[in-house]
Amino acid sequence: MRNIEDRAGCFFSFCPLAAIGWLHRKIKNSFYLVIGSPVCESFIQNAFGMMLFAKPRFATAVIEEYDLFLGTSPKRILEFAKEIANGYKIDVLFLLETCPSQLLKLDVARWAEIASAELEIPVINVPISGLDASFTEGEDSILSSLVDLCPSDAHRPNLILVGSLAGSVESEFLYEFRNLKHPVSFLPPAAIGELPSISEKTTAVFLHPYLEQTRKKLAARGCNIVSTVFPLGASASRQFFEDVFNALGVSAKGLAEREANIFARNAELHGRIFGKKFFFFPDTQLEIPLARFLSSLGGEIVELSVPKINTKLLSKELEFLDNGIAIIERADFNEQMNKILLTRPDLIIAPLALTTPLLQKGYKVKHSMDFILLPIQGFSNHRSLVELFTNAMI
Amino acid sequence: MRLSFWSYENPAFVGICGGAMSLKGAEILLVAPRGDSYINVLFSVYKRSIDFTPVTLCTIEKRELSEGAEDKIKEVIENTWKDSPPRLLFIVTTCTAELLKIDFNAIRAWAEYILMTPVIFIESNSFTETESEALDHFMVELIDRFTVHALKTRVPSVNLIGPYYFGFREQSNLEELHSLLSSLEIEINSTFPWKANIESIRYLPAAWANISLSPESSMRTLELLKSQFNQPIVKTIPIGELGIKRFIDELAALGLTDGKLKLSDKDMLYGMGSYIGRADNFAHSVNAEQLRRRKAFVFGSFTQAVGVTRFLAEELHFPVVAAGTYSLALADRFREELAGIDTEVFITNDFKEVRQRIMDTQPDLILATQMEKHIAADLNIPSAIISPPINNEMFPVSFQPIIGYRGAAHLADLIFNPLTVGLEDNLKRMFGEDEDDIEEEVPAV
Repeated sequence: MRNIEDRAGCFFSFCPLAAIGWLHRKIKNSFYLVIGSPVCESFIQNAFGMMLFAKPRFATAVIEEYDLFLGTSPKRILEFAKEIANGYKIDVLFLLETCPSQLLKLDVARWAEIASAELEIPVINVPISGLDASFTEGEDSILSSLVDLCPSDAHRPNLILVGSLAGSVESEFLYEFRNLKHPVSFLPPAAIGELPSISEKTTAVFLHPYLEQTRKKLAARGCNIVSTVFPLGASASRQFFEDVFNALGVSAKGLAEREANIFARNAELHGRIFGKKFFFFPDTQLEIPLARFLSSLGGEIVELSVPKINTKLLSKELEFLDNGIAIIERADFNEQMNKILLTRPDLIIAPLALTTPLLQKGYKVKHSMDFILLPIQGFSNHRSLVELFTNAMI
Repeated sequence: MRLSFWSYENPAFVGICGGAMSLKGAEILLVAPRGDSYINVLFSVYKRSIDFTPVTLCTIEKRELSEGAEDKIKEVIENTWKDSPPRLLFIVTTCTAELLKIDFNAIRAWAEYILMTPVIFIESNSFTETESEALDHFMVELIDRFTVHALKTRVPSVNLIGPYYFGFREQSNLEELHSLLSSLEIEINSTFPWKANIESIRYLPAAWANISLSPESSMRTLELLKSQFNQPIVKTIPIGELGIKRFIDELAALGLTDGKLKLSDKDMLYGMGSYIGRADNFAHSVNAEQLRRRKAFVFGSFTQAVGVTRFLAEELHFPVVAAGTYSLALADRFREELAGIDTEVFITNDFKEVRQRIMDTQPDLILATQMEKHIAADLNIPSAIISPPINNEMFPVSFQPIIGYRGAAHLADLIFNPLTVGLEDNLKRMFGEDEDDIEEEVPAV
């Protein structure tokens, strides 16, 4: 039995609204309206340094003091939605809930329905707040809302890859699946008109461990969900493609050779992971697959802590993870700082908020956001994934 | 509700955390959903020195909504500081904790008793208060709590009120101001909140006068010190050589100096002294002459927008087509400061209005915030950042003041460098481009 402990502690992570940061580039002509306070607005603007364009793809419906007493009319949101639709080319508008909007029990779901009917584009309610979710779960909430819009008219079996991926990774996966008879599509799609069809003939594969709500919705629609690992590193990629091909009843060829080749080519680089001690702060929920990856290269995991464990999505990962590694859910920051003193790790994988302070205390640190914003999946990214760790240890 | 695409001002808790982070030996307890710990990201990403103000997080989660947060907050305080209390502890909240019914004053009193150290809770309103208002509020509270009546210093001295962690080029400006004041034989009694501690706050009243480089966030504090401790406010901000001259005159009128700079030969050769008159020399050069047939657009926080507009118009004779600020509270003073300048003055915090004005006035150079830099890039107009909100260019790694003599010299560079005043563009405009220069259109597939 694996040792999993929930410390219910205080730890640093990003707000789930951060998902707007990558999804606004991913889904063409999508726009994000945050129903929140000036604090939410300032987060979106500052934390991601996202103001790359004079025409942003997000805005905030800022709750003002009188809203606290008088409530908000749906008309107001409708006006905002119209103003946005007039100023920007949008195919889909997301209304994102926040901690204050949930505390004030604002009926964002109904506003979305009203706006959707009026504007004749999908207006989607994203029920999420930082009270019960962290960082990457924003993507989960947005994707699970998208599932409701997916048609169910598939006449033949199809394959859906679930989770936002870099363009280069998508192309690589399409290439790997080129000989399948199944049509292959992505969730999120590149455009809202390309939402995949979901039915009992659908096979779904998850690319990120934090997509639990989305998984539940796909399971409820009768999808066959492939139990596999996340394709981080060559060995996991081999396992991933084998599992997917198996699930589809297709035989996989040459995967083991490719894995072996990659290992032969990178032996020297792997040597730099071997015997090193790694410490994971909770942040992205990618901690378990990354620890499994490092551990398979001979790294020692001295602390593995996560914001949350979705045991269904992670079941295969947990099989492959060395049984001696304990997992801590919702770790306590103070306890972890003491543990760092005791274990003297060679590399700390930390949220952005802690990176500079830890670097200045003399530790080697890799900030975890890179694992979200850089292409790390599949065979071809094996080396760059290892280098994310080795470069941080220089 | 209001629809906002971009805000020039951060919310209250940024001002309070920024103020507390600027102090020496203070620690912060942030009671908020964990995502609000992005204040730590802002703080650490832009940090240019190696001292470090710890922010401890007490996260508000679903459970706290039903079970209350008091016990959890107390537990975090005990676990974190029981054995090693900080010299000063701040409890800071964001919108979520404000909406919950938590008795922070009771927690504050309890914590003070348990830790035997001063604990401060500043009640803020995330829905109405801005960063600069909150910083002002923060300083007023600390003065109320710690300041005592004190004898004035023997030699002329001033306090620098308002410099803080998220200020515009704060470190460089303070270094430059220090050089300028010491050459005028004026001592700095205290800076507040920058590197201040309880002792230095206590003896703020010992200074002869108060200088603020950011009236945006310190007017209430300055007025309080004036009424309670009879300390006059130095109003001029020493941006540009004429600005420096007015600044020195004002200090002289208050009897703090005879107005003559005392600089050693070494200073004159290698130090601040060697920069005196450089901006003025530049203003009388063929380079600056080129600026006169162009027009600039200025927008920003009160201090920077006033200083830069006056420097451009009065010293470089660079026409300013429009000068605006988002510091709504200082609108009257903004108009007053720029009354003598031939420019269109405007006050707004709506970036779309600023964008429209840029398109209407077609400037050759934009000196404004990060937002206008993006607009400028969109419209292909040269630009430079001269104002908050928080962005990378506010925190240079090297010494880049905008006040004082070296600041004036730096401003001249900042203004001149983005412009292509060479012959090439002019010749292109007069005679057209070579075929090689024109980008070929990609044929449609």
